[in-house]
Amino acid sequence: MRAEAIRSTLPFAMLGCAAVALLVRLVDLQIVRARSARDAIALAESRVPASRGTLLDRFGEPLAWDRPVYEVRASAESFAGLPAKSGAVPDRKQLAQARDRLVADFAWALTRDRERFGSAMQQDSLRRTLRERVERAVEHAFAKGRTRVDVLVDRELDDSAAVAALRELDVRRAPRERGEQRPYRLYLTFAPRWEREYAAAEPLAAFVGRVQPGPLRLPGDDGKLAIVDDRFPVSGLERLMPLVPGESGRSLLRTDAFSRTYWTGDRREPEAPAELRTTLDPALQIRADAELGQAVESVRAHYGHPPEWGALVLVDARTGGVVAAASYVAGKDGRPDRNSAFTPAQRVFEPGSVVKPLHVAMVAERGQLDWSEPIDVHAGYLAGSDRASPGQRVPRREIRDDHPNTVLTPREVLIRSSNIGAVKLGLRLGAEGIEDYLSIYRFGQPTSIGYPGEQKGTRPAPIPSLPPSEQLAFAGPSVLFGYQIGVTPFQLARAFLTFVSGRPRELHVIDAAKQGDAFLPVAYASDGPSFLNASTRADVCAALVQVVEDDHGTARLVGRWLRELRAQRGTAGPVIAGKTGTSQYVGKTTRWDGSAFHGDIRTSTFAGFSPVDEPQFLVVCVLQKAGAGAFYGGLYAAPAAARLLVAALDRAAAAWRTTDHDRSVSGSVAVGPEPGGSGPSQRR
Amino acid sequence: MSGELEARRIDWWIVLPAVAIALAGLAFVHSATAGTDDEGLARRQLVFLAAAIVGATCAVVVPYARFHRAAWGLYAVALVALVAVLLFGSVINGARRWIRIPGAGFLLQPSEFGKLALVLALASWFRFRDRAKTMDGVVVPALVTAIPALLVFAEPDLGSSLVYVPILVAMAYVAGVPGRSLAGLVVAGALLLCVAWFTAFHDYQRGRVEVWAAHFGWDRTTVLADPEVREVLLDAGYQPWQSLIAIGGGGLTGFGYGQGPQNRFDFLPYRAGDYVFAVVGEELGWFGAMALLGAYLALVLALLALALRTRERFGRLLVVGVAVWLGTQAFLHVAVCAWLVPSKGLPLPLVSQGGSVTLAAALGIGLCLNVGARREPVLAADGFR
Repeated sequence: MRAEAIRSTLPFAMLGCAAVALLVRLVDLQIVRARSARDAIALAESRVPASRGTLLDRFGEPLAWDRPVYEVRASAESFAGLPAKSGAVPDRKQLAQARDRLVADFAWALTRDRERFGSAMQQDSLRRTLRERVERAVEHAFAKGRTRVDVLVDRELDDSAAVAALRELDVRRAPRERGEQRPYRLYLTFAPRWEREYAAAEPLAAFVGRVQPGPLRLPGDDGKLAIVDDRFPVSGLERLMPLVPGESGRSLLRTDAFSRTYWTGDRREPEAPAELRTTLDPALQIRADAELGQAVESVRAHYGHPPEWGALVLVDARTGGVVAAASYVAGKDGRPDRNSAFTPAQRVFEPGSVVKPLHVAMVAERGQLDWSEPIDVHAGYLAGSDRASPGQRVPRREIRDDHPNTVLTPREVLIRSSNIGAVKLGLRLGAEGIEDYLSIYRFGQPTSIGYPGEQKGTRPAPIPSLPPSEQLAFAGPSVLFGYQIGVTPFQLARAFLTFVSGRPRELHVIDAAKQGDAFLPVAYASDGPSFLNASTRADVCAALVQVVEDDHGTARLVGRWLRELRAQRGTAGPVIAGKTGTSQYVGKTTRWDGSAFHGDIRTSTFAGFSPVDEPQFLVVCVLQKAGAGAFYGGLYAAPAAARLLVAALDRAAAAWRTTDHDRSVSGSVAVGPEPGGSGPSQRR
Repeated sequence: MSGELEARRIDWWIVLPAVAIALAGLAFVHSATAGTDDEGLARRQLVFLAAAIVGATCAVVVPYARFHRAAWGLYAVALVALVAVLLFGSVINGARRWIRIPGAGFLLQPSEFGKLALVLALASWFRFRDRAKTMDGVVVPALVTAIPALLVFAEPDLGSSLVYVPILVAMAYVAGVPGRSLAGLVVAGALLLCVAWFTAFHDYQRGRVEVWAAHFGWDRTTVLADPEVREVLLDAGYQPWQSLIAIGGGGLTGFGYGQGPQNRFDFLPYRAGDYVFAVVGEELGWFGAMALLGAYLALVLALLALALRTRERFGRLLVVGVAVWLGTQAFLHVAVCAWLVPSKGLPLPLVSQGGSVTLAAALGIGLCLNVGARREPVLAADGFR
């Protein structure tokens, strides 16, 4: 009986030995050599790029964000019949066979998912495109005698679709099951990357900008294209995103026997950069775009063709945040050219009369002005002096008004926009005072927005350093009615922001960065010291209200519309204070139809704000037209600006439940000047 | 003549690991097929398990003495089925292993039931102690084993045919066949294998063995850089190499259920059947692999304990046969996944997807429970001969 028990036990003992052998093998595989097993099949620690981060509007809704995708590249190699050395004659029949099958495989695998393409027509279209792309790549490789062809399969494939495509291209099983042999071998590589997504509204595109896919390639010295910048070409506010970079992640990639690469679970996700909250209101941006478009159409209706460019900027006067900024550049067909310059930051113009209240306010602040004093503005006023120095006679310069006037009070100088009156008042500041005026309003300096490609603007050399004739007859008087200074629409808005605030202030678009769960406000250069007291500002503002409301005011068209609006609403508001400007110069430009123009170029401008006592919004509208006659600011720029201003006031009353101030938490994000620019940059 | 069934004598130490293994199998069949074209296989496996429970219950309820009487009849039916599969079977992946059951919507794999039939036949033959010590006692069982094994080999299904041999050796040894006779049997089997290597083995079968032998010399850090090795890994070495990646990559704790990249991204072939253990190793790591192997070990040890308790020879040999069959097949499956032996297609009983293997294993376990749950019947034994 005992012997039987031993006999019964022996087979089980052998099974136990087998189990021990398995145990040892699994310990070896999964513990002792687990790391080397992973290492052996891991290609490398692959960098998973950090996302660019997210741009938010003022309400925290995303304007631009990153979506994770996988870029898939396919490679084919080991072409049968391909000569080993370049220059040898390949077997053309075999090569043609290889190419046809390769093309068919790619096209089939990548387009087999009909749901992804919506319709059979789309699918067929893509298949044709892919065939052509692969054919070109293969032909090129064959011509060069290369044994490997790389083709970008898809820029954005989710992982399941990528795996499905990979499965379809399994060279081991499928062809053999069909009894076929492929004369090449296919490999697929997956690379994690981000696809940039944008809020759908087109009017936001110019301001927010775009990230263009692909590295920037430029011809080198040898004439060949070379990658000069592997960052993605970006435009607009997107250029500000790298200021707050995230941390790259990493992923262990593996390869199998087919060199198919895939990612493992051993992965550290990239750390997202801070989300940047802008001051943009998408609804008002769309409205600004529409109002600018309407202004363009009114010009087209009157002249038969559109202006060359235009801009409409809306600023939150309490914070300095840009709420909306619409850009228009005429394309060759007369329609907006969406890919052209962003005019609010990148087009410089002479502002003309719109700047007159800025220096008149300084004259009043210095007590050099009596609002009731008569000022002789008869035609024929000669600025400058007969003699700059004993024995040296310099020419004097005649200043003219567009509409002849006789005697005006300072208020009327602003209402009727008299150049003579403005110059006479402004020259009271003297050379130093005019220089103060240029400095305080920061003419010739870019704004703090840091918008890529923002123009610096122009201004004369320091007035006191100029010869007396320049001071008194040319540069000095010119800047007092908006000539010899060049501003962008943003810079003009900043000048008016400075005026309504009574102290130098800056514009900004990025107002907070999200770190953790909190938004920290981005700190900009602090405001300058006050240079206007409230009563002086009120006096000038009263004149600017009359610019709109007075029957002789240059913006009376807007005043008429506002009166009708107030009557309709049965309210006392809205009331707008503003100033028109119409400047002209003789120069060259490219017209809307692409033709070269040399002649009279006019710029129609309006800057306004409301409410008058404590401005909430500030608006600047600029339209420039070549060959236009009476292209007045009050006729074209002011109505669009006023409509946007009223829309903003209405929206703020209804939809802006929070302000920029109370949405931020305590603390701030440290900022400093960006190297080579004046925009915000965040120090980490 | 036969003992009454006593429910309290049901051996729960056999039932519990079997149920645990079956549930683990269901979970990993689901993991291996989720999101693929085979997604319905997990539900199908659930149906097979239900059928297996019914079958096992029948195998427990029917007095096992009746199986003894029917053993040779069942063996004959199995032989007919194995011949039929060679004549009328469906060819899948180049092998003729399955018979389509008309109207039933599934395929039957006779080789799995053939193992159970062989166990019953051998137990029936060896139940006389004296018979084991005669020449007939060696030759007849060898022939009884060789016939179905060769039929299975001809399908071709080398893996399953190899399982028949340990069943014969173990049952013969337990039955009292002298060691010399067994040694002769083993030597004869080895010679037969050598002859078959040159005459009956297919090229791909020889290729698998050669790659298996070669892979022990590979340096894993440089292996993929060798174009010749890559060529091999595209062909005969593909499945075991992917399985090694899966098991080795799983490490100590695994990637987590459903997260194994080899499984998830379809690099591991036949992972719901012949390579299901690699999925376990990849997703649950060494701990999970040990847990599953531990469950098998527990099952086999419980069967050993039952065999030692059983004095009636047919019942004891039956339990030994079933235990060796399940244990050997499990060992070979895991060894194939770990590339400890050349690759071959062999399902893991109760875990791999498949109705035949699940039902056959459940019937075998049910018969063992039957043996343990009855007062031992008095069967015709040595004294009556």
